[in-house]
Amino acid sequence: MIEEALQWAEKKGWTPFEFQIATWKYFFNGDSGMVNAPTGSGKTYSLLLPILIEQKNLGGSGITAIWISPIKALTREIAASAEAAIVDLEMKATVGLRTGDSTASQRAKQKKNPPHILITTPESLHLLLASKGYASFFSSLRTIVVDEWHELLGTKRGVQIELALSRLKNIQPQLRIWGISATIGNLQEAGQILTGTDSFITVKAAIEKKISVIPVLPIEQERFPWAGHLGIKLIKSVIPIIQEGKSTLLFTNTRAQCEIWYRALLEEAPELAGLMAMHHGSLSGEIRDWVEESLHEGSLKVVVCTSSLDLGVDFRPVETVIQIGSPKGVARFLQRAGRSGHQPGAVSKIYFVPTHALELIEAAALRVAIVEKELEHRIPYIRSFDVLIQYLVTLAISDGFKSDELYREIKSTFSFASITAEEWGWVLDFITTGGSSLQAYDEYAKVMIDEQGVYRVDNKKVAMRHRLSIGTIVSDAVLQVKYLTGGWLGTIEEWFISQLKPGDTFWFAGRPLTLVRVKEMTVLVKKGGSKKGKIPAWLGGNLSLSSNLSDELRRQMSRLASNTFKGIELEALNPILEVQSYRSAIPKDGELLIEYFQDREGFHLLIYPFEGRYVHEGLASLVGYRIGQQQPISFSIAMNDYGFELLSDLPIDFEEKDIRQWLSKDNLTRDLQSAVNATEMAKRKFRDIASIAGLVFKGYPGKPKKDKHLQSSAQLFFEVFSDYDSNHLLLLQAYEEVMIFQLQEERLRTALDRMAQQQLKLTFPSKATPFSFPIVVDRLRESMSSEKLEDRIRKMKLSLEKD
Amino acid sequence: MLDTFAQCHELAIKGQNLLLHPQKALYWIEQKALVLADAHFGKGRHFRKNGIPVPQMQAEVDYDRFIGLLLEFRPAQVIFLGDLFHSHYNEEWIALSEIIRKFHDTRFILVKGNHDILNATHYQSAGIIVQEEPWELGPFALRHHPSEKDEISYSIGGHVHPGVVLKGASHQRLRLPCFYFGQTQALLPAFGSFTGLHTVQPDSSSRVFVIGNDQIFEKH
Repeated sequence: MIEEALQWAEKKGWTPFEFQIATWKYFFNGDSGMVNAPTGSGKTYSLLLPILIEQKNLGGSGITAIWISPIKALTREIAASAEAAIVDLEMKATVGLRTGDSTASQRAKQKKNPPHILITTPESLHLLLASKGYASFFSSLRTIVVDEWHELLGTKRGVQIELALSRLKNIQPQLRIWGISATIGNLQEAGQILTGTDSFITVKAAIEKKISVIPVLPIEQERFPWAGHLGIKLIKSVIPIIQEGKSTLLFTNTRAQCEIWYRALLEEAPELAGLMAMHHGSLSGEIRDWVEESLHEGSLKVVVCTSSLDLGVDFRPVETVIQIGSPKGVARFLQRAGRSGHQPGAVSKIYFVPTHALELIEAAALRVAIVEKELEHRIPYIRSFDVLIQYLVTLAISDGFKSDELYREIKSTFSFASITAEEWGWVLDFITTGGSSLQAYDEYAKVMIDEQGVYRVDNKKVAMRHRLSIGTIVSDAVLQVKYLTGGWLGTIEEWFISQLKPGDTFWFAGRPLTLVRVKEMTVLVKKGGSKKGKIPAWLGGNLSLSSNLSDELRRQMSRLASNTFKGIELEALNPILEVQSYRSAIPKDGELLIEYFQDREGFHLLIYPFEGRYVHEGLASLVGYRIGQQQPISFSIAMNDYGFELLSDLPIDFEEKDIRQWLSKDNLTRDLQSAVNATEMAKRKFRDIASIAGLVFKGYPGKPKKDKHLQSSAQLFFEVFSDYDSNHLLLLQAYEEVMIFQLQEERLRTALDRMAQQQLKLTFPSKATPFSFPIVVDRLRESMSSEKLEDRIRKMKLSLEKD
Repeated sequence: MLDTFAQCHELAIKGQNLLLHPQKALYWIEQKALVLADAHFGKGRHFRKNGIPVPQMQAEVDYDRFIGLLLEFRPAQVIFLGDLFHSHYNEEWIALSEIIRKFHDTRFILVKGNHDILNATHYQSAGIIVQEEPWELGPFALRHHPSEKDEISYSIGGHVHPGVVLKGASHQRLRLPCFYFGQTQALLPAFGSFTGLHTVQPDSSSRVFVIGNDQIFEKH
């Protein structure tokens, strides 16, 4: 069969890459494995081709291969590639798509006449497991491919894949499992988790792209802003880059930033109108498809986008990539840089636009990190009981399951390897009786156990609601944005629209729109309106700087302090470094900078570990908690990737030895837990958990809310469980997730060890410094208090403005 | 008599004397009436019947709070300002009816809210008198939904589950449930503990009483 693959390539006039030939050989040999190849390297054919050739040779009806892709847009690309190859190979095989877009009649047709190759997403695969008779539907299965596994691994969708595979392996013990992944720090672990074995094959594509990072500096002697995250000030330096290039991708970090840049470019360079487009996750599929096609054709000069264009097939015409603001991680930066420079041997150029002065240091750090290729790990989720609960109900809806058999099965996954019999019992109780806190005589209706010991859902309404909530991507309630005259633009979050009234203008999909009315779950709009309309902000977490990038940032910082910094950014950095040295200090290697000052806002304590915002959030709550044990005090907390601030209306009485105690590892676990309890971090994590585990029902997509009497919020559940059922496994999961993903306890311990070795450099600036300014002006604050609630209430005033 | 209710906040309005209780109810002295809004009894069980687990303890605690208020004030009448029961009939109605039966000297009146969808016979057999809003009593118009237009009588309602945001120095911020007394109408906090909070924007002519740590504080 390998001959046939080679012949195919020859016929197409392609010289196959070594990694492709290697993958074909292993595949035909029946092995499982990982293809480690970047986007646009021909990775798709490394697996798609042997699947088809095998189908041609072995024949067989029913689904023989499933291809899982993280995004819907990619499923269509893969299907198109498969269809083309089927024609080339002069064979008869069918390809089917199964995504959230598949209509009921398509689904019914598929069930009757299954395609040979099924291309789907993790969510749709789970929906298939929720339909009766899935075991026979999958009985001819030989191969599963998980595309872009690195993107799925560090998410709960990765856990979904693990669970679905454990089921399919039980149906088909001979199943061959292949993953495709870009390079990540823990590639070996990624392969083990996916294939479920240590003895899998890894095929590496030896495709090395040369990458050059070019910082974008202001044109004139204009000063960099001290704070900010938009980067608009540098637009005059960005426009010539776009004009020189053939086709440019301009990556922003958020959807709001994407809209803002698009509008600013239109204003500043109106000649780009018609040659410019926008691409982000809230735009309608239709708009996104059009943008992607135009990119392929080379008819666009620039596309302003978000991570929505990180993945997917290559756009050959793209020659230039611009990154606005910190990419937060080396792997993400490399991935984006790799979107340009397609000719063999070409250098991928990526322009980095700092959004504030300190990000210039990051530019230097990125350059070094890219050369050293120290790529981040993707931390896999473990013990995600919310996903497990969802999965069990999924199986109970279709053909049911037996406890012992399924327990063995899920224990074989990486995520649930450590689940105990007691925890398993809790989960089964949860889906059958609602859990230990409910009373036995209660008529809790979800999953029943029949006489054969099979767990089933009989209640049609429960089954219906469950099918509609399968998935682990939790978003706020969203409304559809539609023209009055028809035509769908995308989705927008409910809370944004609630701030507008009919007649108001807002910007969406790169155009001003006038709100006509909100009707049920649809926002009806017409074109046009004021040029200064509001731009929606979509809620979304701030990413944190990875530890690899933080390490490099600290190295660059100490070079700045010792005058050995060599980057071209130095000139632009000098003005703020002078102010920083004058007002406070630049920390040298082995120094920890701490600033303390008072102004009309209160008393500011700032500490700069340069560890990324997540670790800083943990450190800030830890330090805040420990200070609060010494005196009744309330803090509001802010942080960025460089440091954190505790702001209080009361002075803190401290000396150097107190700082050592705040940052000590003594009683760390205990204090950290108390600190987490004192903040809202776990409550925020619980939002997703409650939704995935089916506690909070979001209503039917695009339809008016039914079941109004079942509406509630994750926050309410968090409170009621905390009050009456504090050992609730889902509650504990929220705290565990805070420790692993938010505070990154391991990183935090390492950071404390490092700080214990450092000299304390304590300064008392007269006002905010260039380092502290971006943190001090941040208004999105966590608060914690050791004062009595009544004392706090007495000190506070009613807020009369809307917030 | 007032000394007994030390934790209450006394408020005179339209010539009537009201005691605001931190358990999210008010006592109207002239009418000897305990007034509470949005109890949403039976909500937990309604959720459980639909496969969403809510601990039963939550309901028990609300019954205890309710009984506590009845024992504390020994009211001649109890007026529910709507959303007494969360949804369709379930066994919690029996538990609630039993409490009501124990206080046979007390008159129980429900001003109907949007959640009150039980059959008339259920209210009858529990001994609850049902009134449509607005129900005029003394100088007040008692209702569930806040009134849309200015009425002649000062109205007292619920429905919104009001809360306010307090702000302090150094970006301190708290969100707490409240009693809200505006120019033309008042809003009571939701009595039920498994209910959310909706932030209202007070204007400068309103009086706001927040509830925190079992105490009442008037805030400006």
